[in-house]
Amino acid sequence: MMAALVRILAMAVKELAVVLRDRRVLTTLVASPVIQLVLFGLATTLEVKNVSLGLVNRDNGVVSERFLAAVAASRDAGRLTVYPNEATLGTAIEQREVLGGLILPPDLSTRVVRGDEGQIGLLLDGRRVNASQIVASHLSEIAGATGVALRPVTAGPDLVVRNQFNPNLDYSWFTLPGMIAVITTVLVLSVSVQAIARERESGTYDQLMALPMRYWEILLGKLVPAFLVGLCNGAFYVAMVALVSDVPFLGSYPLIVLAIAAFSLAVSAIGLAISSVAGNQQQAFLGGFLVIVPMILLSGYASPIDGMPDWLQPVAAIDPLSHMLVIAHGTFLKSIPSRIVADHVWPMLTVTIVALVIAHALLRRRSS
Amino acid sequence: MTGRDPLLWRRAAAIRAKEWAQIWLDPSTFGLVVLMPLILMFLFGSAVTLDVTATRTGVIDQDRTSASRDLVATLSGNGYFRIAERDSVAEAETALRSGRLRGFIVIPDGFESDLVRGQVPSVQLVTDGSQVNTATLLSAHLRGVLRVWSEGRAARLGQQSNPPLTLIPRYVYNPELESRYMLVPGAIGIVMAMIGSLLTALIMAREYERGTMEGLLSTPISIPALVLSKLLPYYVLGLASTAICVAVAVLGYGLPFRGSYLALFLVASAFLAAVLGQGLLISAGTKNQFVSTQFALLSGFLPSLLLSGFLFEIDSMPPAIQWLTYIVPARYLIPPLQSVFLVGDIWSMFIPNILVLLGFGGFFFLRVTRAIKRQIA
Repeated sequence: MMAALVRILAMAVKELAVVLRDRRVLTTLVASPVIQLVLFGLATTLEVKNVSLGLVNRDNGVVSERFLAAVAASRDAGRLTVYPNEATLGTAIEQREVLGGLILPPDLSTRVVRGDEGQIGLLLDGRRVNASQIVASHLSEIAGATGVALRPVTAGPDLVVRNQFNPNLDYSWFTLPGMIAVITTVLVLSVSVQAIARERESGTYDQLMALPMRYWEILLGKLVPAFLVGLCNGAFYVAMVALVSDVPFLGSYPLIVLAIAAFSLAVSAIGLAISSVAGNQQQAFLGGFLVIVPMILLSGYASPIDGMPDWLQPVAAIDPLSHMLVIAHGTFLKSIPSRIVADHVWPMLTVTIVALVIAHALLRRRSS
Repeated sequence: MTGRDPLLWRRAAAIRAKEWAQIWLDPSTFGLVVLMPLILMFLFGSAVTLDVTATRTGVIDQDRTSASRDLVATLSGNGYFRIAERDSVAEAETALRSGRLRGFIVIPDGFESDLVRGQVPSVQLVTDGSQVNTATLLSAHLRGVLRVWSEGRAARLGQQSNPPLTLIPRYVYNPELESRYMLVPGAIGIVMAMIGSLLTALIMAREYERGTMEGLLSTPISIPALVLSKLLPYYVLGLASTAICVAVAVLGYGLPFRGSYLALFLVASAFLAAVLGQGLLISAGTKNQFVSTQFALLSGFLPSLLLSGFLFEIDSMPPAIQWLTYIVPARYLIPPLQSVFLVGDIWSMFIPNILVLLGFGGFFFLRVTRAIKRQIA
């Protein structure tokens, strides 16, 4: 038992030395993730603000005045460009100069004042689906509020909204914790996927197989660099985001580091499994890529898991990233109890074991 | 370059043949060119969706009158909500914290009596704020449902409930508002960016690492010709990938294609010229496969995914980052690509974008030839 541990340790040290030998590799492992975190954390927002809108105003009465004032005061509105008619507005939308445009008909104010219903048209670019929907709903609210202020009516129930965990619906509170998990995934997979493929390409594979080590000892040793890269980076980013940005950190730091360790283990193991079949670095990289992209897209980061077809949702459950996201959001924003964290750590550990078993089987098959 | 080389075409053809042979011998390249487009088309067509569907929402009915039951029934029948009734607010809050619910609605005690007396009861919605987009859309849809419900109820009871002012939205080019109409063309761009920058990032670096670069440089072919010949097979592969994507999008997902194939070809070629050049520059610059792939990911693929405007609106990004998007080639691909599918040929928009992309390509090409030249001297 001791002998096995010593061998694994020796392999781990050798792997670390190889990975860290090239200074540029080191920089890539440290600098580029930080850049990614900052850059993409700030850019990836589904929030809608400063939108360019057009306006065709044939009314110029009290209603349009009030409505436009309310629109201008709202968070969404950026530029409001006036167009003479619907045709020119349509062209502007087509050319993507504006997201859409308000159309105020000539009898708007007279109708509302008279007691009838006034209708404001809103033409939107259907190519930009998310932004259009959100703008439509915000402007609709403003229209309703303006109308009620002008002529109180027996309205239906009022809606009071409370956004738990994130009262101002600040997008960075969602993207930054999530981005930590995504970047760690890419990093760990990139390193682990090269573990065996690199040896094959540089010709040292046979030497590796000739060592007096069992396959699983080799695998565990090779797991170490990627695991450490993931653990250190992940722990560092969590601290950085918690201290530097305005995202609150309500949970326990040791707990999330533990979760990151489990996560790093799972992704490293997956990378190792891919590496076992790759013949050279290109194949390893491409294989890793073929796994990373679905992993990220099915994790719930870019779009909610609720929206996926029912048969696809169990796949999201196997994805370690989807569990890490829940833990990340939960630890930063919700201070989830350790029981819930454990609920999401178990699947990651299971994935680790399964991936290692697969890697072991593949390694044996390829070497015999 | 000293004078004209009479054997130029033959030498270029030889380099191209060698590249093709290398591609053919390594099946993983084809895996990327064929498999990845199919996977991405599938993911963006079926799995990733920004349409809010069946969001898990809890309901706590504290009133238990016919009006509140009617409201709950209306909510349950609405496609946007996957309603699960809970007995207490505490129970719902625990579910919100663990992520089992994305929000819950509380219908307060006295709901119906308030309505009957002409007063305004308050319905409360508590959302999981950590899922910002879902929370936004959830409250928007609930507002809509409440409005329609109260108007319907008023009409049934013979009351006047004409809202004074309503907004009627109309979505051009995509009346059903299917998010896939936006995502699939964008995904095609991602595939092209991937093939362009990632695959080429490996080419040069691999030659340097294996030591075959010196052999190549000692052949009597000019550097620009060498670079172009190496790129040509990957250009063809990029077009092939694009064709596969378009076929899946139109035939498999029923996406409309209202533009012309010529426009698509020109836009795709211009974009490929830009990203191939970018990948090659990274490759020749780093000379190390691991570093070049990481760099290609960081400066090529991720910006194409996140900063091009197809998934996240550029207008909503912080100003500094908006400036950054101007040097992301994919930003000039997305509008023409979306339009060629959903609108038609808008040459006044296409041509400027094509020219910018060709400009990028030319710039990268010049830098690559200069970077390699330095090595020989």
